[in-house]
Amino acid sequence: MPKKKTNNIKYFLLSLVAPVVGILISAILLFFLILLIRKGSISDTIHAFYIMGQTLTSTQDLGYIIARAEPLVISGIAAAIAFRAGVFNIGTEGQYYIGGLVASIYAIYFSFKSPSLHWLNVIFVVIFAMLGGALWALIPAILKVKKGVHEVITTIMMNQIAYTTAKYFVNGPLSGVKGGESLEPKTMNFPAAVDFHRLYDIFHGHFPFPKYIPLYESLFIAAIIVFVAYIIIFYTNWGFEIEMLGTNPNATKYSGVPPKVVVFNAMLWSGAIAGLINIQEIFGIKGYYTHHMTSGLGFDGIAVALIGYNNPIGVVLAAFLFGFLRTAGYNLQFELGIPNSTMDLITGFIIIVMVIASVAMNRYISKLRRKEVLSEAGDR
Amino acid sequence: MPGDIILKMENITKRFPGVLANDHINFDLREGEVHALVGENGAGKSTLMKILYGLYHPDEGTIYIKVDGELKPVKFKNPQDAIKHGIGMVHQHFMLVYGLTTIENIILGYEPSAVIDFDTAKKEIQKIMDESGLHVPLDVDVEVLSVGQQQRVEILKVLYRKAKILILDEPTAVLTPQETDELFNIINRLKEQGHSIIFISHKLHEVMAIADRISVMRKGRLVHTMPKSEATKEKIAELMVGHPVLLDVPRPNVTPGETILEVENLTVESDTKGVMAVDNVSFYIRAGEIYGIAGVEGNGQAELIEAIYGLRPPKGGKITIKGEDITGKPTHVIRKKGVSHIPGDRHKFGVFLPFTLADNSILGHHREENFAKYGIFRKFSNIAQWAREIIKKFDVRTPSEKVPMSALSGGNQQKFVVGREISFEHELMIAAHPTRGVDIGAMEFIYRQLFEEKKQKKAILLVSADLDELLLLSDRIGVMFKGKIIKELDNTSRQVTPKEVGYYMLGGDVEIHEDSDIAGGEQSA
Repeated sequence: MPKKKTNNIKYFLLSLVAPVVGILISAILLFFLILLIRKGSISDTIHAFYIMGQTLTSTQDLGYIIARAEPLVISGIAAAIAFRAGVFNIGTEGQYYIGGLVASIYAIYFSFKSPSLHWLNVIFVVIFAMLGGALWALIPAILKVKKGVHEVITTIMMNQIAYTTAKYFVNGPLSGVKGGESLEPKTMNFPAAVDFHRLYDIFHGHFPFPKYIPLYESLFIAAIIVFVAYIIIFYTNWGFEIEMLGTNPNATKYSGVPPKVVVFNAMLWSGAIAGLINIQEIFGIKGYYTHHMTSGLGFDGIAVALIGYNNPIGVVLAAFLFGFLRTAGYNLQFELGIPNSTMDLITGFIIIVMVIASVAMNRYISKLRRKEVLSEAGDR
Repeated sequence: MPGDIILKMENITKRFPGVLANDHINFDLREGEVHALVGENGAGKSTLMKILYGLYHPDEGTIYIKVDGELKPVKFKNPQDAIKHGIGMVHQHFMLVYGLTTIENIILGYEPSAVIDFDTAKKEIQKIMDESGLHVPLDVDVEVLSVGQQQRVEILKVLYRKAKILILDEPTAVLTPQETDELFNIINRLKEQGHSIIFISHKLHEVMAIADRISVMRKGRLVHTMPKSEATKEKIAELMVGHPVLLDVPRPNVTPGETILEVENLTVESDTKGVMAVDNVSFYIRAGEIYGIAGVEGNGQAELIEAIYGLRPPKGGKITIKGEDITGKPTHVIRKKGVSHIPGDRHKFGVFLPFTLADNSILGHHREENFAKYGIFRKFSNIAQWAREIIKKFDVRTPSEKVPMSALSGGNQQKFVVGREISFEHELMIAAHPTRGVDIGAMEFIYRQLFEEKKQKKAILLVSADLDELLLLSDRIGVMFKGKIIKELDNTSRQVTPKEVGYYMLGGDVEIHEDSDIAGGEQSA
């Protein structure tokens, strides 16, 4: 029946209206903002948009966009898994601090020193980062399931504890600052056999990969997470049960799926994935751990999950949008002196417009569907 | 006796996207009459009343209200406007604030003065109560009042706001037969005082008992208005559905087989700690038998089901299915032992509205090998196939199994849920209010399906607030009162009367024995 097929495509396209509207309206707002900042110079404003466009055509900038999107993809998926279950895990921030810390302890004390076992080190870094993240989600999960304590309260508090814990380890047991060597508090450097390889080093000699692209092996990890999350969410009963719980906890209970078990698992898996958020920076860029790493990736991931409709593909697209806005923002600041925070403002604006537009669109879509069903039912 | 026309709705039309909810409706109301408005769900009754109450605005048409002895066109922007014109609505779901007293609830929003003068208010309410016969304690938290009393508070609220026209939206849905009789007395008294009442109901015998005129709606149109003298139940039913309906579905003759469900001395705690919602209840159901549980809602029926279905661990007692102990087992285990359940509140417990019919068709069984490889990887084509079978077998009106559940009408949603639960392998069917909120057509269909179950030698536990339904379907009826089954009535040849059940629903012995034919019921147990 071809009619139904086209209808499904129609509904899919309709669901894309909200993000497109959000981005378009935000672009208009950005136009006027830049116009204001550049004191009414239309030509400057047009030039600014040209610079933004260039960001997408330059290989180096594209590399930066991907590098910035990568942790957000992981963070967005971590948040999305919890959100789909109706659990508001806003502790991904703390979970990646601890995930990174636990993996760093492995790297410093327990890793294989032989370069030929680098791949094993990568696997163990992933495992320990996930364990660390899950551990940090475990306490809120237990409190929620056993005592009904709301996860927003507990996870946000765990964020604070995570940061302080990281600070303690960096300045205390793991401290690698030797007198006068560096002012930045950091741990000891990881053994070379742990450090993530640059993609350039991997591909060099096999195919032409630009040297200045700041990407590491962790990109593969992010890709695997996206793929596995997609399969789990849409093709397995784990994802189905998470979806059930997030949609209607009562009916979930009535179908014999214990809500507590699903909440607990969703929370733990969300935390486990969150543990991996910043491995690119820790094991790729830095090669040591510090609590002074990029912060806020967890919260950005929440926004990414929101814009990406908690869908892995949507999350990837949203993360790229964020990465693009950041990178373009730096370029604008550098070339035209437009404050970088303009882009943060636009990001926030996109989220608000999109949320409003998607509520309206969802209503419209369900009305359309109802109408269609009623008319077809009447035909019989 | 009914006087002049005080309300006229002319050519009222209201369109919703894709639906013509009200199609050029003409409706009027005389002073001092009860005008019943009947029709299936979705016929447009509530839309019409919401227009009258100012909640919706008509696309076309005019409302006239008698002001100073003359009919004048009015436009209601909101319910406050309607109230000002003397229109009051008693909603099916009460709009009471728990934690506030009766008097506070009545005057809420219409306080006599900025600093509330309770004495004046009380005097006024007392006067209304004396005139109408609606007596309720004024200084207690409304939460402690019975459902019938809460409804009186709702009516008092409307009268306090000086309503002359009362809209009663399915007022008897929550009442026992005795409470219904009292409500009818009150309605008659209000009539005598010159109030006019629009009475919305599904229950035809009630309409016949109380209405002066009857209007029937079908598919957004008002098909007929007639005085009671011209109406019969059959005629109304026919007008409602457009073709004659067999309200009396023939009951199949099945000899009961082995005992399927046995409940022994079951005790279940309510949400309040220490209070037993189900108190030492014992009964059994055999194969091919329908066991009905009657009772005013909130007497432990819900908790009884939850205990059998594994949602609420019992405090004591034993539940067995075919001799196998399932006491305290989790729901998924109990479902596997052959228990299906049609939940009482479809939207809350039975379906996932945004999910497709396919996804809704496998709930609770989604981990079975037929629907998922290794219990994990979902087999979409099998699931779709399964859903299509349910749709076909149970006449669910939908273009395909790929549409979201929310797109279906209430009756079709319920048919789908009933179909799903019947389609899974089972020995025991727990049907809670299986026809709540569905139209007569779907109702009859569901009755036939439950009888089909009976023929298939399933054991059926039927909990319903609809007495007619219980009497029509059940072989035996257990009446629950305050957590106990205080009476079991034999209904194998449909000999139980609603009055009899109603008597026990209110506690039986607690009442004075005045009705001699109750003895018949006691004998048969």
